[in-house]
Amino acid sequence: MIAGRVGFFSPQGFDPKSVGTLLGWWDATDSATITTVSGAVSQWNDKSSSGYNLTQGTAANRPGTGTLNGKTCLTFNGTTQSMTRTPGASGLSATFFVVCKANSVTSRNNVAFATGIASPGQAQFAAGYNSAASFVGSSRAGSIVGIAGGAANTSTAILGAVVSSTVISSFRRNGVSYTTTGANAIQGNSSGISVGCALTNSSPASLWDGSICEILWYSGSLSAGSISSVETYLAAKWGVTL
Amino acid sequence: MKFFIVNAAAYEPLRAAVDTAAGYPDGETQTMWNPLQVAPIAADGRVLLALPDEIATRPAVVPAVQASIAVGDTHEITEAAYRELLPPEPEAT
Repeated sequence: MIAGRVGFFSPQGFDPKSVGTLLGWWDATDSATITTVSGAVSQWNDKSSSGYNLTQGTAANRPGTGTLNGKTCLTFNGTTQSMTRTPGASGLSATFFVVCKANSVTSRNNVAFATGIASPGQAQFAAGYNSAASFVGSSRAGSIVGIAGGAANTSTAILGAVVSSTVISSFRRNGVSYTTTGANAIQGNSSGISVGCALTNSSPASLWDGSICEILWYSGSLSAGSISSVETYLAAKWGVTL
Repeated sequence: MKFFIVNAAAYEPLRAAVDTAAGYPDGETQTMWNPLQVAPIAADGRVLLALPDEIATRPAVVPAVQASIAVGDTHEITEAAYRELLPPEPEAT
């Protein structure tokens, strides 16, 4: 009985579908969700019931695979590689989590995950924004509304989270919430989903240089308890210190 | 990675020749590299092309690119030059 309770509360026993309304779930450790062609990833399937499978039909733009914390992840070169799906989900309010590791951080934007396109707006998690080499969540019309304290780094895996509604937003890094700046809430839109890049007028831009491990995307703003559950699960799985 | 700059008029014929040699489109792959409409364009109108090594060394790619270089339509450039020539990213991202 005790063993059963331990299992129930174990981060590895946590089911991401057990909290909120799951819009999308991309898990690089699940080999059944990944299709490769000549060693490169042509499709990464959504494990939620939404069917938001990510694809890359251009050979030169397909990410590869690598390992992080002993588990399979996708690797992006920051120059050509990304995966996208259009259209995305309707509804502007959402919470997403992304586990990633940057290979480089420059002053240019370096987007791991984004919902929507740049115009009218998108919610994204990125390393670097213009002259600010920080991990950031940013939003529509180019306004950065969440900036993590301190410089982005390449030494460890990062668990980024963006929690948005039409009236309030917050940005989290490794379980710590950061005060947002700017007047706008972080909002995505239904124009598309992109991993390893942002979408600017439906074209990939701001390509990610590094690894992307797992992404969970929920409808609406998750409660503090649910956020904690998801972060605990992802951190334990990918070796992130909260 | 290999980096090139291609005369605009030669870009799509080069891509088409490579796709034909590779048998694209097939069931999983539409094209070898970006079509012109989504490719980065340098300020002088030429098209920037970056190819992962695994792509740049494919049998369908090497002879076509070499032939394009031979006639002066394509030039191999350094990564630093490629990055210098990339157009600025839109502010909205």
